[in-house]
Amino acid sequence: MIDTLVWIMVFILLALMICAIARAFVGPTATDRLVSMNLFVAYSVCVHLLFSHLADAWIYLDVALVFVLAACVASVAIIRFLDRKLLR
Amino acid sequence: MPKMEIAAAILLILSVLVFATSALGLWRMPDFYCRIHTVGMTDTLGIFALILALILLTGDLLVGVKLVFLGLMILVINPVVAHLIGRAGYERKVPTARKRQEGKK
Repeated sequence: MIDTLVWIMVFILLALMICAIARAFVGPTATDRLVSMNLFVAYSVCVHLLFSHLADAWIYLDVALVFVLAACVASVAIIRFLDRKLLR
Repeated sequence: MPKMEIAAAILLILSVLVFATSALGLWRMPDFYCRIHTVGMTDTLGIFALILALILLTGDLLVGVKLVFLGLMILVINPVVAHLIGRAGYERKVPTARKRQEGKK
């Protein structure tokens, strides 16, 4: 019963991920794209967590952990890169 | 259906509603500052509700502790990154919606 709900949630989250990626294509400035990348990371962490429940393989939790850390470092690196005014 | 699963289902539905709100805000908000406001708030709440639901679903102590650790890390990282993005936009003088309209006139 609850597995069905979790599957439905996974598909809704995939649709929302497509929305976030579309915003990254449309967004007029580089910071808009950064915002949508941040949102995309949050969605994909949630999909990882739901998969770890569905597959009953909690090793996916570590994947989510590393994903969050790598996304944080990537965001900070891109922001430092933006400070040099190389992107528009 | 046990009571734990009902509580977890309610939390899951809450989290997916919050996430839908954040994607809607990303498309409907007029300028960059409104978008960073929406996304920075709703992300943290949605992930937190989902982590709480998964803690209720699992019975394992180790998995629960790991999930709490993940939640705390997101609680620290997400607002900090949102703040940094907002500051970067302010320093690059990204125009607000009102500024853009005044420029158009």
